[in-house]
Amino acid sequence: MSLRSRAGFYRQEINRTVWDVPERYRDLIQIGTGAYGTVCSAIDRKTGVRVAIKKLHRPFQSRLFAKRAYRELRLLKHMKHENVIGLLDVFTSEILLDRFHDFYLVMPFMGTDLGKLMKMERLCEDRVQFLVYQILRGLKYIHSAGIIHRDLKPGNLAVNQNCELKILDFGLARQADSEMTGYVVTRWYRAPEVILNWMHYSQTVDIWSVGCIMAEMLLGRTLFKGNDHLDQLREIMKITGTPAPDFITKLQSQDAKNYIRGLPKVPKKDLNTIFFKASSEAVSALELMLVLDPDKRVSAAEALELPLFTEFREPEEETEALPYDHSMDNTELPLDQWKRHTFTEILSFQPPVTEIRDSKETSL
Amino acid sequence: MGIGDPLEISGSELVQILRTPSELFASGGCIVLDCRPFLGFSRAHILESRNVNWNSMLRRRSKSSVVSLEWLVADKSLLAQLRNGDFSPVVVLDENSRSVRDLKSESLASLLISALQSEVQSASTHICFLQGGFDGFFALYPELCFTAPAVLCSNHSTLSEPEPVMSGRKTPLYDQGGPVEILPFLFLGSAHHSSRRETLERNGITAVLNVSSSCPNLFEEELQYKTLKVEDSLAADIRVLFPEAIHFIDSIKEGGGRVLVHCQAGISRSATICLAYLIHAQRVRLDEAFDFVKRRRQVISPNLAFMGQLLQFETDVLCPYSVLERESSGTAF
Repeated sequence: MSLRSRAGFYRQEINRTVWDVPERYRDLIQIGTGAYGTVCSAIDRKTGVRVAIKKLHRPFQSRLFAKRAYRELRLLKHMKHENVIGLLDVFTSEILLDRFHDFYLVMPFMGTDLGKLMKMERLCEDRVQFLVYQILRGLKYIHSAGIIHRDLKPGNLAVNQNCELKILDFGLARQADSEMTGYVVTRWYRAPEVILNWMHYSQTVDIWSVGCIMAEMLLGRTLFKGNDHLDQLREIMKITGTPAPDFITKLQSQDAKNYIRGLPKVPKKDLNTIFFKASSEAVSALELMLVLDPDKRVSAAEALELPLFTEFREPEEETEALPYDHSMDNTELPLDQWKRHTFTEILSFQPPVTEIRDSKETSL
Repeated sequence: MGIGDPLEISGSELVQILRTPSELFASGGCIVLDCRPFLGFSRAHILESRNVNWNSMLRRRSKSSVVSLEWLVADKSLLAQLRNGDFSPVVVLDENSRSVRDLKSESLASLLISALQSEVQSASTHICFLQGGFDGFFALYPELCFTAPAVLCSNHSTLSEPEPVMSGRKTPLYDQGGPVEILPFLFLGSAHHSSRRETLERNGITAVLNVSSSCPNLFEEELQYKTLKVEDSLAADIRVLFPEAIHFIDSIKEGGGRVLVHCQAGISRSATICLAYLIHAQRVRLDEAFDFVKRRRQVISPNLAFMGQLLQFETDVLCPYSVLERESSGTAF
């Protein structure tokens, strides 16, 4: 090795990537890689629990990357809810700011994600109920912090071996207008107002996504599978019907209004005919989520009170977050300032309190 | 308690039970309740078995209340049947325990057996425990088990990165292939296509129509360029640029040249210009033009306002007599 590792750390190369990690994390195995980073599973020898460690890919190569890395770290630090992914640890092997160039995020290891789970086997309705309940509980928490996910989809919902769910990959930088139009490939779970950039949107964009995901779990297939965003709109309106006049009035673009008004009239479809195997409570929940007008869609907190979840909900566990300070999100700073802020956030991290219950989970 | 200690059965005995036709049972038949974690059950389980519900919420709840069968069996109709004693035998299994004596008091299998003993109303229901658990049974009788497709059982699953199309390491879909021929003199593509000299030469491109605010014109000594600055936005008026774009394309055509129309990704702005040209030159409706271009370049997707403007343009091009009628009407008035 070219450099001696810092005391308490050891160095390891995995698929041509150098990892400098504390001694407590062992048996690193790469489980994922992409443009923004690489993820390994590891055993935390302090707790005996398997964790996921994410190493960001050159987080300070540009101002944009540095701001994004800072933002991801702050969001993860803020999230403390069992249905939202949060940080178990964050570390860098460097002590001094001027040598600081890499850092690692440690998160709970989850066995799979909902997309893969749905491919394994058709889920029975009580499992669907429990999974949706957890999504909504996590969303209530995120939304109460003033954060919108914007990209909920099965791949962003991690599920562990006990059917416990955590929301991942949320709150990332808002995409430019052009990125919202047609460039994004996976648009099947996006609310109509987001896909088509109809208007300024609110937290209920995430509720639309929950409705699509729930529908898919019940049906065993994607509900709105459009080839492009115009086709996506057509697929949506086959079920929701064409929009009502009062909704069209809310559109900001006259040209968009003209286009919508020119579409053939389609009546709303009765969801009971599509989800004939589902309970009436499940269909009622979908009716309230898959509403074209975002102002009329149910909120996460309201959805938790629906009859569908009465049997197993725990209102005391449907908690809210402290408000998240967005002020830095719109700030433009030089790269080295973002780097300094990131370093400060790493040093100030407080690990979550480990409870005895973890050992009991192992015994089950 | 109405029901005694569970009867331990072997895998082969369970096979006999499973293969017995249901009409030969005095009861409604056998039910197998699987106490393994949910994910393990999803990957592989005995056919027709049911998974028992357990998670951190229930574990916390169990610290202050006796575990109820209602918690463990979330399916209400199944719960009612169990309580009524409609099933017999009720077979309980876990991962690999050899005997009921091996079970810890707080294990899910123990909790389930206790709940069944206290809540099942029928004295004729037999509670059985499978020796060796699912692991033992699966090793001997895999044909009686469901197994999920192997490729999806990998642990390399969670925390995956965004879809490849957004990755800087892979060519986005809209930059793949090359510019597509819409008409012999008219091509549609992305900024990436317009930046590669060999791509332009291969397609015989002699001119470029740049429909963007920020893409550079890289070969101004060799190619004829026209730039139309417009954003891909619902607020942008692209229709006002149609006459100018059509005129440019027509002039290239008349000169025997070939023009590439591009924007950043070749999805919205440049596609809109090509659609407008087809409506004008071929006198087709927007729907027909759209399908024609879509078949050649799958990723096109003009924004909603651009579609509205194209619809208006279609009306202007295909219904010129309505204008004359209005003029005539005005004259008459």
